[in-house]
Amino acid sequence: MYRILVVDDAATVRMYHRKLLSDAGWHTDEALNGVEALERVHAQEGDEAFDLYVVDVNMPRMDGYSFVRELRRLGPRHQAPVVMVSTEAQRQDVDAALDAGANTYLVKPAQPLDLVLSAALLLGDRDAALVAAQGART
Amino acid sequence: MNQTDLLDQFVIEARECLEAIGKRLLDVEQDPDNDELLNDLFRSVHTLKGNCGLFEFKPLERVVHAGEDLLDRVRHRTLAYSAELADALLEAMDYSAQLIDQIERHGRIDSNADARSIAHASALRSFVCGSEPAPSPAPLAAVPVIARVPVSSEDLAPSWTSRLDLAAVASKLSVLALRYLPEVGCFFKGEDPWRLARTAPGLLQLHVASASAWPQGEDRAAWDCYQCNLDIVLCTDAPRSEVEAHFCCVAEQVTWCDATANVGVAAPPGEPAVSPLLRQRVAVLWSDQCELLARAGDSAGTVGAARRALSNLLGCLDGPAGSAARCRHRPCSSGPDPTRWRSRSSLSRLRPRRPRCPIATSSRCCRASKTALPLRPRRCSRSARKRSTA
Repeated sequence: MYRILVVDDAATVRMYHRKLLSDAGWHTDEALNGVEALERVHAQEGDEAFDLYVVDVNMPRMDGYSFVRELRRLGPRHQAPVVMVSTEAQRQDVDAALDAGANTYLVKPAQPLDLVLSAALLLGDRDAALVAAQGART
Repeated sequence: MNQTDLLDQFVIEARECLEAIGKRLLDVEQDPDNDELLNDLFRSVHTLKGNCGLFEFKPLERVVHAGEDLLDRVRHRTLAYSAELADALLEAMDYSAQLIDQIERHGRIDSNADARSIAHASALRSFVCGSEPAPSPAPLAAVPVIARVPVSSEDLAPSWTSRLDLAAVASKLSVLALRYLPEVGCFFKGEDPWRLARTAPGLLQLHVASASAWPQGEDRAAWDCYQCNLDIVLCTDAPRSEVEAHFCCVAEQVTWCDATANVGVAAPPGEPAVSPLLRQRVAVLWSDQCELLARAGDSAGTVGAARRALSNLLGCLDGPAGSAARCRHRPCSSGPDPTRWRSRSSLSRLRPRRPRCPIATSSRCCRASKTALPLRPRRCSRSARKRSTA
């Protein structure tokens, strides 16, 4: 089962994101900020490595940009895609996310379809992507 | 978890935020130059506003958003912190607490809350109006990274491509399809459409049909048998420039389609076709990865993450075989999936060239034919020719 780490200092948002992602059939874990997220990453062994990260930008201790930069400095086992989410919706925010090494950017609140479909595609979970896309049509 | 759980969590966290905001406002009053305190204060308001966005609590969101804008300027030193500003914020947060009480009691905000909400928000924004206006960056809609381009049926492959068995050329990295409708009088200009098509560089498949229905009955006698009535469709894996050069004398009679998209998303019989929404999202994400690669510089980790994402996107366009392979192998945990050479080839060329989106549609895709003709083998294989000769 794919493993996703949700990193956000807002408990409500963490709950919302985890609910959407676990309903899609993936295992989720959470961290409250970048420091805690890095600790989770380092604690993973072998196949337990996360397959995707959903990361907020504005967090205490270590923000999302810094976390992704640190993540990208780690070995190949930790090069999972990152979906960055933030309430900011300006060009410079997207640029900053990509400069840090995030794979895509969603504006909060992420719509369920946006989040699940983006996650499915970046995970390579074709079945989940088809289900999400099909659900959007019905 | 259900919606009630999420709402309960929202109320709990909203109260925590309001408590933190009240405390931090007092702290900042004592030490208004402390960046850490200001950032902490801003973050609490920011969190509350972000959480509001998950629900339809407009009166609350309006007030909190105004407070967030105000504090963003204060922390960036474009607006001076003052006792009046702190008072306005405290009053706004007191009102926000009343709204949260309503949410807890009724699961919603009273319908008459708008007037007071607007008054509080206006009071907060009045501090901003007197200060230096913040620069307004380009709106998100102009950002290609997350732009959501509507997909119309015109964006999809023209129906004449259904005359080609594109699934049979799925192993090709790039497939170009074209439709060649020779002029009716082409034979009198010394043209040989059939030969031109047969000698196309990189020819993979060729299909010929009549451009219009053959005359029947009395019309057949009156029909000019020297006029051309050919409708030719072919696909090739040669570079487009090479194919264009080959057809340069009849360029206006040729329409093109980047059929790589159709190769990638061809759904095997019995499997649902990939929806336009999915294709659109893949295209957006593909574009994101291209941007990421362009910015990656020497960051091996970022390049690796983009490669992995691209590989996974390709995997989502594959059929059941790709899915099955994915189940057996963790997605690119130790490099590209060895079961799919197309992905491997794509990945090997990521660095020197911009990866081409497998579902990108060409603006030069031709008009759609009105009737889709049945699929059939287009090109004689060597063994078939041998059998024919025998």
